[in-house]
Amino acid sequence: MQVTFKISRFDPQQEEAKQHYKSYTVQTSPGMTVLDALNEIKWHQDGTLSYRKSCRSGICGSCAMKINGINGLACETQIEPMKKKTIVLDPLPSFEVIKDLAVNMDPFFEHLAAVKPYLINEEPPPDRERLQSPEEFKRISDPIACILCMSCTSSCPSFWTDPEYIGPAALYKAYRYEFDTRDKGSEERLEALDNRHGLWRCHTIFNCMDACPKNLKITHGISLLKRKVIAEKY
Amino acid sequence: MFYRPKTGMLAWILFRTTGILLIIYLAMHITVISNLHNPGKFNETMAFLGSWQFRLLEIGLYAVVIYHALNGVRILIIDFWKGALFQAKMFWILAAIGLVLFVAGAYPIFTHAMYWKHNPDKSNYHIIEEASIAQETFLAGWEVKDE
Repeated sequence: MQVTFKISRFDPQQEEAKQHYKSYTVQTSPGMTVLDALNEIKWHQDGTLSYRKSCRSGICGSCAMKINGINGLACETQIEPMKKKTIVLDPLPSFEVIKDLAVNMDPFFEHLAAVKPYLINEEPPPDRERLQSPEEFKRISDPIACILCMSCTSSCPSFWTDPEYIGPAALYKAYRYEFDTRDKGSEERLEALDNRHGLWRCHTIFNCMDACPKNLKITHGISLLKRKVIAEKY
Repeated sequence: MFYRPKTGMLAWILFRTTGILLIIYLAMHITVISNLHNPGKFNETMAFLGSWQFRLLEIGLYAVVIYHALNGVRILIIDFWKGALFQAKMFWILAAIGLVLFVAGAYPIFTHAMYWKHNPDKSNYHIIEEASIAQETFLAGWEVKDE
């Protein structure tokens, strides 16, 4: 099957650098992913094409991009089941493009750091591990699977209009620690969550859950977090 | 920038649009009601708004109110229960309920509008006039009582 890839190109070193689309034709085979096609283009057709990639098995979260208008991982998206003659590839929306499909990820990690995504517990460490029951772990097992690919945050219309909004990925990370029975850092985290660029900017649009390559229940976590903050603070 | 909308985003865009429409309607509604202190002007406005064309527009208002109200219920279920896990299913169930409510309410509005269209002489202008006479009588009685 022949598929045309319409890929967004942007080269900052060119004079009057402008985003434009360039088309490439790839002969696909069953099981071939969008990332395989990108490699095919870069290795055999146009070596100047730039995109992030690493594990090619949906674990590292490097190859997130907008595939036919919706965010996802290139390495997890098979071409032939899409049944499309043309596939449009764009960089993740609302992040600054460095080159072609690679975006500047700094704002994303700044927002993530703002929610203090680590265990906060001032108590002296016990002799052995801080134990949790299987039920207690079950509440946080979902967000632990997040691979920080930015698909959710860059698919969020709230984030498009407010770049200071910390975004679904950071909020879900906050949920992971707020609902961890071993964590005592609620008050420290509240500062980043309870303001107009925090929790309340989520308008339950569900683009994050639709884009998430790991099918995480992001919005559900955020609504549980909203309830927790309301119960504790207001 | 194009992003392919799925159920959640569609619901949100419609919710915002109907919200803005309702705010505009509210402003118009308050403007009309503010004419109440002047019965003559109020009758004039009501005769204009009571025309069959405006009655048909009320079907649109009814649709906007139904959507905004039902999606509000959906958001309540998302925010205060575990609705986030089945929001798309919930959207279509509420859409079906909304459609039934819409047909049930739009039909009488439509038949009324058609009645006024074919019986322009029976326009509710007269009803309003009678009501306004009654109102004036009532107010007159009130003033007398006040003294």
